[in-house]
Amino acid sequence: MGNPAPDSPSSISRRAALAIIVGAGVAACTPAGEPSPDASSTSDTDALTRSDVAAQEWMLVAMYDAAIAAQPSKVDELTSLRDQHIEHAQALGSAAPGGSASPVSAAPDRAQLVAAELQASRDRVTACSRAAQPDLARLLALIGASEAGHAAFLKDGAP
Amino acid sequence: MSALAHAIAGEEAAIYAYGLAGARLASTDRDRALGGLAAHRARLLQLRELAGTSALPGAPGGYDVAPPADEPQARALLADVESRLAATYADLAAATSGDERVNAALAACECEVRAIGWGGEPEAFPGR
Repeated sequence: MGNPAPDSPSSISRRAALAIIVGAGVAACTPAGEPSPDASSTSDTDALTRSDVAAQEWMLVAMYDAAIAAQPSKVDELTSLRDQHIEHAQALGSAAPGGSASPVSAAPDRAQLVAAELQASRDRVTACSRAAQPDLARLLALIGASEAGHAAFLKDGAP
Repeated sequence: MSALAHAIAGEEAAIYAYGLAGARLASTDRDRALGGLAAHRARLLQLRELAGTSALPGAPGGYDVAPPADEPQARALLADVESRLAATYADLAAATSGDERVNAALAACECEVRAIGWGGEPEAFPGR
């Protein structure tokens, strides 16, 4: 742990430096994942993964809707988490829930939301491991991380 | 730089950031900080093993990062580092397969959980 360079006082330069060091990210990083040998069947599998995971994301949205209806005092906090699941579904290529989306029978409490987020995160890691396309693997890893973060956020907050 | 080299550099940066932030954290955050530091050290060793010595990037000579002035800045620094590292691990997941990919995806989850623990806001796509 050496001393940091002098004359680097602003938080902007800190963020910028960290962006370079830590977050160099997508653009700079060439996915080294080998293209799948059988493009047609793997793209079928990936398409199925996308629609399956998107359907699970819409189910989480429905869970949050039920929780929000039952707990109006938590509307801001829960709505922001709910909206992130919509972003997940949309990134997977699903603009709206399918017609067969089943309504949530009872409003989940906080512990049930935590459990659902943790399960979702685990499922995304599994789906990530099976993805043929590197872009889908990256997306599923990000969604899984987001959902693990949701669970931690719900656990940290007051019930 | 490969995704693996990025992840190694990211872990080194995270360990450096914990060192910087540690002095400003409240004593009640000590266990959280030590836990985070230990986790990053373990991941760094794992990644270096994966890379093999020949593929190691040069040791960083230091970072242009101002030490946080107070506790909120220290927590914000760590939340930021963790969330960015989650994205770096998602890139590594994209570039790997099998167990290596599972490990990278799990590491991304762990980073985001720590980011939230340091007060970061939940994100739909961490670090992006």
